[in-house]
Amino acid sequence: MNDDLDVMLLRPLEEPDDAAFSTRVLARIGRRGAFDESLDIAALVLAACGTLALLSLTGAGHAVAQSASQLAYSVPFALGVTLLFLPRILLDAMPE
Amino acid sequence: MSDSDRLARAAANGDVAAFAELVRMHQGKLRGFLRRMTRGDPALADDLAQDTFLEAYRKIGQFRAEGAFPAWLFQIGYSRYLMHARKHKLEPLEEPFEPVRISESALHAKFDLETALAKLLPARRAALTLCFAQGYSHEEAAAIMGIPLGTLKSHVLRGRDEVRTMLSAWKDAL
Repeated sequence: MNDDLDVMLLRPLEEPDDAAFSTRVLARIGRRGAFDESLDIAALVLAACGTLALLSLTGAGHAVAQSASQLAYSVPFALGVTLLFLPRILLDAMPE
Repeated sequence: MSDSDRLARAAANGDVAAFAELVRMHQGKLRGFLRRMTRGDPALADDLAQDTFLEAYRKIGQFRAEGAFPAWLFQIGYSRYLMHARKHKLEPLEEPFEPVRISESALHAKFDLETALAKLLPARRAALTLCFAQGYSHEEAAAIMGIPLGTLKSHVLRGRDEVRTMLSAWKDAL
């Protein structure tokens, strides 16, 4: 009985045919990726809206707007902005 | 390093095609295992298998190449099954107060190995399946199930005894 039982237990499990299983899994992965991407974009938009709301509610927006023209003409400010964004622009422009 | 582990490493670096190959390579064994765990419910087993692959894809960066990919995948699959069984109270997961008893109707029913395994505690069913049908060592099976080696060995011994008792009772009843 013991040996018979071991033989039965050792029998490999029946493996179902793939049929469309792999395709379904990969489709779900694709959808999940697209969903995650749209979540990232939504989070970014929400953060931007939140910042704008905060600026307008606290009155900081007015102060920023008043000093913006002065800031824009300031050389260190312009350099700072350039250094901040230039690498990203160059990276995006580079072919893969 | 096995083909699976090489593919897993590539998938961890963002190669979706490598992950697709892993799905194709391992879907059969994983679905077979989950079918036995769900006591022959192919639809539920396939849902759990899909969730397992999705989770594996999400966590593929955490896969360490020194371990074997199939064992890592089974670990996720088994924990998915346990979560589902707990949530939906599919069957008792802990030790029953009374030993397994065979009802009169079961004695007259077709009593084969699958029926006997379905009556075991899930941990014993998993231990027997992993160590016998899937060919994992005791150490690997314990790691997959996330239990100490001694507990795994006890599940294997007691599970075998229970199956033997059930099959003998059925045989005697014929």
